[in-house]
Amino acid sequence: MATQHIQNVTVRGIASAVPKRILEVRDSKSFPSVEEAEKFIAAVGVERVRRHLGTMCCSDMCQASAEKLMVELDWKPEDIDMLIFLSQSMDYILPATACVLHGKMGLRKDCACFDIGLGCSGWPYGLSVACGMMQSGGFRRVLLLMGDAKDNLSTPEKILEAEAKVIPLFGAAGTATALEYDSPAAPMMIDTCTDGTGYEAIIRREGAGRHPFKEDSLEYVVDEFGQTHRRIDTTMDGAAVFVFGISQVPRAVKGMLQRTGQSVDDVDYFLFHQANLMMNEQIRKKCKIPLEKCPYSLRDFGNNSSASIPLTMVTQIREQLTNGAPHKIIACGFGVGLSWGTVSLTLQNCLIPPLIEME
Amino acid sequence: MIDQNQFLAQMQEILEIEDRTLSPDEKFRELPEWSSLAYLSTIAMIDDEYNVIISAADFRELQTLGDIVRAISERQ
Repeated sequence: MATQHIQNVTVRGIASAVPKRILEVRDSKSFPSVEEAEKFIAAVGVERVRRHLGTMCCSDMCQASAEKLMVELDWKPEDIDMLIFLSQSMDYILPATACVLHGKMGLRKDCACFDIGLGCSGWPYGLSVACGMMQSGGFRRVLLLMGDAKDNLSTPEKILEAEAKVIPLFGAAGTATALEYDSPAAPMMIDTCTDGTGYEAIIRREGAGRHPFKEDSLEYVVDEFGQTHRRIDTTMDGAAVFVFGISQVPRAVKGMLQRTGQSVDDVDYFLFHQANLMMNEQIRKKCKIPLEKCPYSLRDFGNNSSASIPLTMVTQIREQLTNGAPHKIIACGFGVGLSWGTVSLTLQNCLIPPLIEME
Repeated sequence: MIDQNQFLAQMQEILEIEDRTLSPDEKFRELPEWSSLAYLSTIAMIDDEYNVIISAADFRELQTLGDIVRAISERQ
């Protein structure tokens, strides 16, 4: 059992930033025909994604989100006790991106900064680590930053070439969640899970220790699933991920409902990682969650890895979440690892600025 | 118990085949209508209709529609 009861941390704010540039899935040259494109859109549910042309890193969008929250919360750089960067789109292989951000944001020297290398399960997992460390009261104000920005190995020309070859499903986004030690706070429960036997289901094969970058790492290949990509790109065994999602996620959600003594009716919003429409709808139906409790950012932003859950809050239910009333939420992130986490929490007076768009 | 004819009809619907009837011996991967999306629809349909989830590794071993029927009935 890997379950935490948190009694003294409040989520003060959530912000998201995305590139201004919009890539319309329908316009993608990666489809053999218009029919194929429409079939893909109907099943996967992504109509457009936000992409940059090598002009920003995930950390830039996270920093913009964090600084926006700090202004609105009136938190000064010297108030921050910990900054966690959770992403698989880091600035450098080393040092940790959290350290880079620490310097750029002018944080105090007695401030804990580190990275967590997770993806789609990030929001619950990041909360688990941050809130777990905050239990002692030794960290009062904490920034939990996460997102995904694709690789920046390319020039703008190469990025355009890649966009013409690879079906767009993933978008770029960076988010910030501001946490404060607060006693007593509304209770939070977090479950964190792993199935490492499925590590190959979502993988970027080349460019790190096991299979270092080599001359042909940038060549396009067609894999056993018929997808075109380079070996330095993230690849996916769609069926394995689908089976994983529809097996584990309903179990995780039902387990969380049971442990917190809630029914589906008691919860205002179920926020899922935005994987793809077929998988998310199968999960929603298996959990018997009505559609109106299950907001989607998938159509306009695609799959944004760890940013998906905060991005969905900012873009789909911002007005509802900021109306002053308490909102009971269950969020479940699942994917690369394979890793999944579920959190049950109440958001009230959580500050959520409008979506930030970056040039 | 799984009804083989019902399953074949469900597969015809997923594959959008209207002009002929599928047989249990049909090697589904060789059908022009088979695709990665059809695969995901099949997994979802089996989950909905038969309350069974076949792992990707086990599914890879299956060749004919009859094999899928057997795989479902073994797991029910």
